[in-house]
Amino acid sequence: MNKSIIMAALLGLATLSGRAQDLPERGTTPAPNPTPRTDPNRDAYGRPRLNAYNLMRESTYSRYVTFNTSLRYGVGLPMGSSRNYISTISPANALLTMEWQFPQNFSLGLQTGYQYNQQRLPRQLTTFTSGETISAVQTRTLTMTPVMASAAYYFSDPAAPIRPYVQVAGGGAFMNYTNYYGTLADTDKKFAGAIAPAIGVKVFGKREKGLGGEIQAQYQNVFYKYNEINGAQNLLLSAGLTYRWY
Amino acid sequence: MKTSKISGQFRRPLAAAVLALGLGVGLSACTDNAVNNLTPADSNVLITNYDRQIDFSQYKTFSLPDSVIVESNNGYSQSSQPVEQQIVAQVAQELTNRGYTRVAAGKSADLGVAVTRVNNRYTGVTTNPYAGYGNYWGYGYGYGYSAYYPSYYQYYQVTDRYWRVELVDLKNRVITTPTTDPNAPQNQLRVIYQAELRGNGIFDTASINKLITDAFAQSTYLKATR
Repeated sequence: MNKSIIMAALLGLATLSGRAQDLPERGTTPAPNPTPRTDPNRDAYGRPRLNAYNLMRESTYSRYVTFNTSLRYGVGLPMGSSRNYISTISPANALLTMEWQFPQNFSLGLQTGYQYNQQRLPRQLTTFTSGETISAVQTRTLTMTPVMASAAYYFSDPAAPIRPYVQVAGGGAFMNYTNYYGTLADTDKKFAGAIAPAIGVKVFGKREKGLGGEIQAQYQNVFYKYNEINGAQNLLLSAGLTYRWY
Repeated sequence: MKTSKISGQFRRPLAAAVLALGLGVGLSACTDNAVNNLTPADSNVLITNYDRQIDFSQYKTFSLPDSVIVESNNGYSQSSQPVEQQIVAQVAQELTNRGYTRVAAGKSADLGVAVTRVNNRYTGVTTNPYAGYGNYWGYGYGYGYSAYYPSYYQYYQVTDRYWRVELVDLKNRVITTPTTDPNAPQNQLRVIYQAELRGNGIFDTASINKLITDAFAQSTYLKATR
């Protein structure tokens, strides 16, 4: 009794599955599949999975606000009246940026850093307006800590392997002017407004790849005045790592 | 092929290491240690100033004691250590080279010369604002436990030591009578020249003469003849 029930059930299943298999073939002659189903580069219809349209359409970077951070090392070239104070190239600059990337080409961000420059002048006489004449070896230092918001336009989509951009940053910078006469210091600390246009490129190597490299040239203009400096201008060339994620 | 694979494997850590090194170099550079590598000679600062209304050729003689004044905060004393005798001798030599004549002690002179060794010391107390209070008000306080001084109190001491050379106008001084107020500005002796010599190694016998010579070299207006 039990055996006959099981046999009937098996027969029924066989019939059902047979009907299910037959259904798609009804009416049309099946096209021969040019590649086996297991090919990961082809979809069920034999079309290549990888094409620019699909990636553009499917990338999360292109659909949501995504994130990007970068840490860079740079050299600073004093420009304009900054050169009256320190004329040498600064080898000590670090920059940290955070960006919110919109699905198209724009991004908004924040940036900060630590920029230091120093120059030692041989012993010379300086006469101050107060009347003192000072003979000293001067060690001129300038420390800049920018705190700026940025807006950038990228010339490629957010998931692209290479992303050149133009950027403008605005905000301010904590300035620490300390000129040592021997070991005596003339110090001025101030927060001054700043504006900094930049061009740069991020290179990830592959679409959607997270980690990449970045180089940037930024022209910093800090509205800072003290002694020799009448507006601190600086061309900052930086290179480092960048990372995008969502 | 294999080597390129290895180099590719190491490329990312290498880049990170280079970046870290760059940041390390960058962050160790700061204002606070900018003058740590100054030699004692380079640390010396000579500050001179003078009264612009004074014609220094009107003076012919100067009086200079053999000892120096030691100024220690608000206290004054006199001292005549070897290094102090040396600086007095060098100041006298420089003034003589400019055409002034030193007079014997007690004789009247046009200029009074004061050499002062300043030795000011300031002590203060500060607290470290970042030290957590922790269990400062924790259980047990006031139950027979002795109080202790928390480690976040920091004492600092600043020592300011330098040489000062002053020229005082004795020639045009006000004749004082018992009724004149000695503290009124017009009745005080007028300092017409001052030199401050600061920095490291300024109390070494080897550097004294050059300090004084350099200070006078930048004071070309000091001369007995026009």
